[in-house]
Amino acid sequence: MSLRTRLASAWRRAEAAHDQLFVARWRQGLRREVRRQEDTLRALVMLESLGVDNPVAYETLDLVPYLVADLHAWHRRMGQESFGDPGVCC
Amino acid sequence: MLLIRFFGGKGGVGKTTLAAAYALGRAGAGERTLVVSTDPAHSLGDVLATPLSGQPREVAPLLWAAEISGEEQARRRVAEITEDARHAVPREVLPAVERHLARAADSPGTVESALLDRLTGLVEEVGARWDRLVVDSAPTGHMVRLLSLPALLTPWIEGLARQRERARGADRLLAGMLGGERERPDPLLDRLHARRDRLEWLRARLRDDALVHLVLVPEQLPLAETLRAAEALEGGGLRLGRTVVNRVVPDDETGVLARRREHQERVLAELAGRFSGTGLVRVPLLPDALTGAGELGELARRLGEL
Repeated sequence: MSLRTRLASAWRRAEAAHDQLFVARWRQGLRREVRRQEDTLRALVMLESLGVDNPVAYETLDLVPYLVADLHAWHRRMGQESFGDPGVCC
Repeated sequence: MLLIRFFGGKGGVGKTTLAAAYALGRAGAGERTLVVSTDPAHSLGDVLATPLSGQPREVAPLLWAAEISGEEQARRRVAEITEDARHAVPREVLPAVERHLARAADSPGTVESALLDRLTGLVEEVGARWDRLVVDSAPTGHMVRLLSLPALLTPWIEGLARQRERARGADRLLAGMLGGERERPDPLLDRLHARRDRLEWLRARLRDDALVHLVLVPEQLPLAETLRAAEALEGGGLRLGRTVVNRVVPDDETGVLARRREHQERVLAELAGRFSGTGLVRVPLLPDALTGAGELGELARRLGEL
């Protein structure tokens, strides 16, 4: 093995370690933040589905299809074919 | 220009008759006038002696009338959204979308929001299709809530939009880092902003172009309610027009009516003090209820331009 390939493979290893140590953790944190923000929005718009009175339900009616579609995409990503009944998703 | 006029007051004080008469007068003066009733127990059709629906119909030269309903508007909007969703979301989630929409449409406040939405549509046509819009509003408490709705809704929608922007911001950062997808327009955010803009537009339009005429009969209970309504409306950023005092007993009456007249004088004096800025219009007690364009004519002349 030439010095050059050895150096290149060491660099790749170092890069992978750095990625695992720092970038992956950061990415995970960010992903969690995205999910949290999206969940909050979903909860705010679909309050009445949770049994809470929503004073502006009418004003946010046209968000409902998109939020249900989001929920659908999410449970499919999580590997579940169906999620709840038609009252929740599918 | 104060082209939008609301007539509000306790049930039974004659606001529908007065709104109809005023609208008739404006139409007679050459203005294309639309008069709508928002009271769930519609009586505008009875006053005009003609059947009405949610869509404006010409009932006299230059006069159109409609009885609008929040329930009807909410049903229509849910149907539109369901139709749009057919093209926008996966087919398997459509039953869930319909259930969620039905639940949202049953929420308290939906009927009033929907009514305001319908009214916004009509206000948008003022200046184009109509020269004047006359609204025979529902009883006082309902009307006040209805008109203060934009003030309550805007901060809520702004909160939602901010929430969405935060989620999108984090999402974009993540996508950029992964070298992911290009930026797409966000239909949710667009809709939230459009909704808020529409409400703000209505609020500004009502502040600039609308007057609320409170209607009452000169008695103690309607007086108390009218004073409260005046405070709430002005607090909500609306302007009051001349207050209409209906069924004032003429001063040549004798017996029971003469005693009634004394009581009315006290109420009228108090009203004159409170509404010295905007002024009062007195409408005398009439022997019969007025219906139809012919009978409303005299009343229309008395109200004039208001």
